[in-house]
Amino acid sequence: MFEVETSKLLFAERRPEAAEVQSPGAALVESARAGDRAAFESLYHSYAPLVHGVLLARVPYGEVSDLVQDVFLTAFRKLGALRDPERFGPWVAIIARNRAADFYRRARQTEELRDELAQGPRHEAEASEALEIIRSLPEAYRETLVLRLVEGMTGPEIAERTGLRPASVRVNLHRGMKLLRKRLGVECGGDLKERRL
Amino acid sequence: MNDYLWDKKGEPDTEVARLETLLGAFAHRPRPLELPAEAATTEPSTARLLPFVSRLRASRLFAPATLAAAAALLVATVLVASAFLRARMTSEGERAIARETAQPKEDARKDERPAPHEVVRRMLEPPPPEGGVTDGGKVERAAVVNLSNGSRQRHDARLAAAPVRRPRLAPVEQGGAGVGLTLEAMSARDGASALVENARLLTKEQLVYALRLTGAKLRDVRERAQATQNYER
Repeated sequence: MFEVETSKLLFAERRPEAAEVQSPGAALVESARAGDRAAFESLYHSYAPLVHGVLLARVPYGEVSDLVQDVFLTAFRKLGALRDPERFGPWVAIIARNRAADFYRRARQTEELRDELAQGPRHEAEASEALEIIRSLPEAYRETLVLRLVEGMTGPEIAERTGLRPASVRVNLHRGMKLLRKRLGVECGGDLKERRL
Repeated sequence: MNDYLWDKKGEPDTEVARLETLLGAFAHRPRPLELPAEAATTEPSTARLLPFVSRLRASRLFAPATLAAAAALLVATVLVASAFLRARMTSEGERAIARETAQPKEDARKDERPAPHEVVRRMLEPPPPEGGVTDGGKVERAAVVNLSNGSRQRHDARLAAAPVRRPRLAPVEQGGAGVGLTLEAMSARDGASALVENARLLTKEQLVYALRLTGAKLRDVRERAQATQNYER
């Protein structure tokens, strides 16, 4: 009885259909490994929103587009090191996180971008304020909220692309949204409201 | 629970919808990927060479199994190494004991010390008559004291001419199975360790010295008694 329960627990995390049947993403990875550039471009179009969201949660908006290119270039060069073709999404997300950390290591400052956004139209300034508040949230909430609210991905899509459990994504979304509402309320009731007036 | 936040189904949440519209300006805008011509998967691909191994390594079940196997291998290596070292130490110890066992048989005859029971016998035997010359070295020396100078010189010359005689260790038991074997050899043959053997010998020596001292005192008392009797006569 206990063994059956244990085996259920062991296999609960595994997705049998993903392990036994190769997904289109994995097939693209295999083709790209074989030197098919078109396959890699398809991967880029599929996973670019994910990489963009991961980077946007960490670096200034003006830098994100170039960094996305850098990340996919690195992925293309290191594609041979990817162990499991099924996990291209989590792998490329890790590259993106490392690239964002590397960006700050090179001591590029974001003040210029902030000024540019602040001088734009009113809704852009408001959007940049909201983005800043999201960036100030804990990391687990920050990335999930950006992928949901900025990139327009659903919860199941986020779970699939990032390799996280759907339950974890759901929790992160709801807790993050609760925190965001609270902070937006404080901001709107305080500094932001005064600035608008 | 708000389903709209999770999968965009159901009634839209106004706050979430507003944020979506607001933040949608920052969303990814498709841009063609600029791959350089020379860019290629230059890193060695173990996955391509050994697809089965790569799949095995990538599987979630393999990671704990690998860890468990590595831990078991480590434990087994430590156990084997400790057992080997213990066996080696034991064999070395046995060899050392065997060496100790073999030595006394040869050394026993070279031992300058008299056998313990020989010493005891000498202690317990009555003192030699005055001026008498016996076979024992100590008694002989006592006798030499009473000799005249000429006699002493002759005695010294005879002693010098005589071959050096080493006292032989007496047999433990006459006519028994241990004939010709010393106590030390027997003990060693019985498997006593060298350490215990040394301790035993030291204790024996102390006992012998104590007996000698007691014997000397007894002799002194006896001589005094005899002198008193002679004086009374």
